Amino acid sequence: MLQRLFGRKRPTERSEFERVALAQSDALYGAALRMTRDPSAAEDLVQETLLRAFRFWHKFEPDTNVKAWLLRIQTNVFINKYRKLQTEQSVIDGREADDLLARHAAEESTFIPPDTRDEFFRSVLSDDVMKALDALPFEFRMTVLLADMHEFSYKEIADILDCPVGTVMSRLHRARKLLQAQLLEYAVERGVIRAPHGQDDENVSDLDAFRRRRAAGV
Amino acid sequence: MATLSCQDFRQFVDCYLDAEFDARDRADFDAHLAACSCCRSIVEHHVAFRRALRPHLKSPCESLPPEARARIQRSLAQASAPSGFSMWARRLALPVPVMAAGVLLLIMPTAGFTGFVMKEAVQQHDQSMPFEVPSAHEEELEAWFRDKLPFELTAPRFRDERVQLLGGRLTRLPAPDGEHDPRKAAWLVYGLGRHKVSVLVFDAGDVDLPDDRGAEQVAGTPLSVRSENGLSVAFFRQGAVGYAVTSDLAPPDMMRLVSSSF
Repeated sequence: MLQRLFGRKRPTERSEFERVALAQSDALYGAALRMTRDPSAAEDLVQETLLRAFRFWHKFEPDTNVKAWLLRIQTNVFINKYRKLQTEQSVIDGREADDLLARHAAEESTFIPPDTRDEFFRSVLSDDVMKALDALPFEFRMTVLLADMHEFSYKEIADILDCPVGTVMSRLHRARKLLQAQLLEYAVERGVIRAPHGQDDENVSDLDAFRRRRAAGV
Repeated sequence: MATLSCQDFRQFVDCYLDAEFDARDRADFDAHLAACSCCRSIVEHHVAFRRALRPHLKSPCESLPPEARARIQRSLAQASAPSGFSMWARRLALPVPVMAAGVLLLIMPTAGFTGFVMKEAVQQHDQSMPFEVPSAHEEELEAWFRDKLPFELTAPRFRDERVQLLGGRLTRLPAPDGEHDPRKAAWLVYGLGRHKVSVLVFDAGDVDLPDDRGAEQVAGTPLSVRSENGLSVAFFRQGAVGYAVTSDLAPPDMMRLVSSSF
């Protein structure tokens, strides 16, 4: 009785845990890399997640999705511990997200004509996708990751991130839009495509660029 | 049936493409799409974007490095091995009522010491001193304290999965009456969402702790909760080791957290 209360496990439980949960370690590590953006911190996060999952293994319901259960634990561990160390994250999640969204608020900002679009989508690089994903605020990043990388339903994502389904919907919509806008910027920077109509106009928030152009008499 | 507007369609285009709709909703959206070239163009755009994005999201070779996997397996083996504590717990399991009665008779009350402990627990909870050992693993923390305390520390294992160990430090409690030296104690901190839960673990072999008879119990020993400066402090003991758990949870929540946890 006390052994159960104090959470010690029998060896058979460990082999069962290793068979079912440890098999998800690559998925956990992929998610941890996107959470921490640091390989060494990601390894620590996965270790902590699996040790914690092992302790609460008796609470896992065998007929449910083990990956979703583990990712939920990993998200909690990350929020409780690692994110406290990444103090800048809370700022990014608030104000910077609003700035990013304000820049790309209009549907037109991410709508590209079909001919340019095909060229743009062909030019997308994996490194750019990861860079753009890592630049998203944490909640947005996680929502895209869970929906588009792991193909979880909105309900499963809401359970993992402990938020309402409506929040998942709105984060996903905005996150994909931001991701697309960011990838478009990379493609324009690399000269792969020309900026879609309306984006090569002067950006009113970029005062330095405006002054440089004015000084050059353009 | 009301016709779906373009605005409705665009608002829920993600749900439509993510297969989140039931058959009826889907039929409404399909009907709108068949009749509206503008929304069709938007859907084509979303589909093309996802098609372009997904292979990049899924392709990265991000496998957990083999040495990290081996380290995790070692930690799991360590976590499942019986520790000194669990053997002690097993020994305690049978004679709990006998031992509890014995302890109650044998301990000599030390006037005012519990009051000091409570004040100290509250004060340390508020101060948030830096950790000497930042660790999320009870075993690691217990090993660090092993030669530093006059008793063997067992960190509480909370059963509420939201509670997470963050770290600990060595601390001292004021000397009880008749003693000169302060007593060495352990101060552990756990996170529970936005709440902090701190645990003071001290040598209580010769002191009385508050005892609400008939109230909740922790692993066979009485649990008592007191309020101090808006914080709840839960007291209990495991043999000769005393625990004072402090947090800003309401007393009933604190009682539930601690009683179901050890």
